[in-house]
Amino acid sequence: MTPELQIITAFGVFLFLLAAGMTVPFAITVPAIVYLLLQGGLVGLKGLGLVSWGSMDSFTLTAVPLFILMAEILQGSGLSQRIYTGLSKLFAGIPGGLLQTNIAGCAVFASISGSSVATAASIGGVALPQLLSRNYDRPLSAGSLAAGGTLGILFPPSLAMIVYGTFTETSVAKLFMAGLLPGIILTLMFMSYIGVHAWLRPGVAPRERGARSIAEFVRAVAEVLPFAVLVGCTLGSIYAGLATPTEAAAIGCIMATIISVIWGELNLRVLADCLRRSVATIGNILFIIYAAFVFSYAISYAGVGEQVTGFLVGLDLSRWEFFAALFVLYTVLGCLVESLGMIVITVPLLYPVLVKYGIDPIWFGVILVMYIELGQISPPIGINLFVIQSIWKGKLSEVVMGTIPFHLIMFLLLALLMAFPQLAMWLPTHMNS
Amino acid sequence: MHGASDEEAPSPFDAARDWAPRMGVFERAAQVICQILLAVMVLLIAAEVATRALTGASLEITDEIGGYLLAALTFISMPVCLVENAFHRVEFIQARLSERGRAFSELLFDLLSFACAGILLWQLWRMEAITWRSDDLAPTNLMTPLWIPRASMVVGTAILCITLLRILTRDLRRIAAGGSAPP
Repeated sequence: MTPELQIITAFGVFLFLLAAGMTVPFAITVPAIVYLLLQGGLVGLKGLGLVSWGSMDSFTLTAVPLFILMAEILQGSGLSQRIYTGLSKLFAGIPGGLLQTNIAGCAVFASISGSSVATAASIGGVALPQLLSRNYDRPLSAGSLAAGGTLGILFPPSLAMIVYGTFTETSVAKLFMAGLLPGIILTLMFMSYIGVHAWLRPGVAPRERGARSIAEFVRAVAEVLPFAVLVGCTLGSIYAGLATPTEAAAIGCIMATIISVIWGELNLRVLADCLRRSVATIGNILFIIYAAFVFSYAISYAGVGEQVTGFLVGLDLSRWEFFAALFVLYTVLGCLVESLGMIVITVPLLYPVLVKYGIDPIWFGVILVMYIELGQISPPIGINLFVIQSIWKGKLSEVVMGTIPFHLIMFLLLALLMAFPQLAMWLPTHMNS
Repeated sequence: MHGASDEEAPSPFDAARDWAPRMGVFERAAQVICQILLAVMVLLIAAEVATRALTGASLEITDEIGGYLLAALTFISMPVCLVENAFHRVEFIQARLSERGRAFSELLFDLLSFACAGILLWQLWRMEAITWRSDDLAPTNLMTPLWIPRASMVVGTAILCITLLRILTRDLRRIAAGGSAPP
């Protein structure tokens, strides 16, 4: 079998197993091992032990379990309900009412969770019953939550960026900062769209009243304040260069515990539950990362990475043609492969090409995360669609229809990021190392 | 991911869930170990930050131990995730299969997973034996004998194999029952 046919077979087996319903980490590991066996027989497997140790004995990656635990503590102690209640008083007065609160709530929760699924599930679980009981437009309600949830991996602390940074040996702190401004812009674009839509078609969202008095406004601010302090401390310490992302995550866990004891319903039993649920989420993500390292090793064992790089560089594409090709690749992949899978399968192959095209890896990290966000709300496997549908128990088609305008807004931001890279690069170039 | 049914209806995976393995002694022990590892990770790294802020000095062990904890967490959590059905999977083809078809495809996937886990266990055991024989030490202040942290990978993968064996037994019983719910 020729090397080209071998790599096509490995990717084919991966996509087949994934689509057929095998669990994601095994669907990555099985073709990797098959590929190693094809390349070198049993001798090809001998590096697996050291690759396993070398890839997972990583201090950088310890940020992943810690940020997951932090979000789980806040979610488990009922504090996502408080975020939503507080924000609903602050944002419900503007056109779009609680739909605006959905986006603001997702943006705030994204800043502490790092995960789109956690964001969509936390805010969706609180918001959907209220939206439906007040006769908000069903597709727009579901769409705003599914799309708002994707902010979880653009705002720091983004788990996707930690994984990208680990694979490319890029500064995770700089990646976090690069995602912040695009995250704020995307939030404002989502909210503007909802505002204009609700103004043009008042039937989609009933008029809500915001805070009715200064005292109510102050109470609403007090509901959100603990999160503002938590986000400010974790992100602020990274931006100021006082802590690494991993250290900020550990401090975040301690602070989240204290906040949840004071303002939430955290006790030892709830904390044990949070730890138990975190282990399930963490194990899944870490196994996918580990499987991807094995896949990456299998590809490099055969020297295919160099061949792919040589082929792509040999095409002599212009920068914009290269972006257009990436756009097609990730749009298709986003419909087939789940978020972390997209990063870990493509980045080891594409990363060397970035250098040849003079593309900044930090900026590319933000672009890649945007593509992944799109994939998370693209049928047939966009995970946020199913998260919202499972909470709602409604039609999947309504969720899909509701996300279409948000897709277009995300494409617009992608174009803006490509035309004005400084939108992503301004903060990282001004932060303390 | 997950199911793709358009209307609220009984899930096509109800029967499969009835056959889901219960958490056994090994998986339960693995779960408790993972929770402890996670708590220790938080406390260790927070202690590093506090020490540096208060004394200006580093504990000097955090990076090393943090890495060991992560490796242990990765491998020991695998069997826990498997029995808790926490691994993501795409279900839109599975949802369109008959009960029997789903039972056979599960058997095939679990066989492949078991083969894969078996190969990993074999290679990790090989590395552990070499590390033990050669008395490898970490090039750090602690000079940790590397067989100790690496043993967590072997233990986690071994439990994963045991869990997969239990699941394969369940798959065979499920096929014998025609894919329907257990009696």
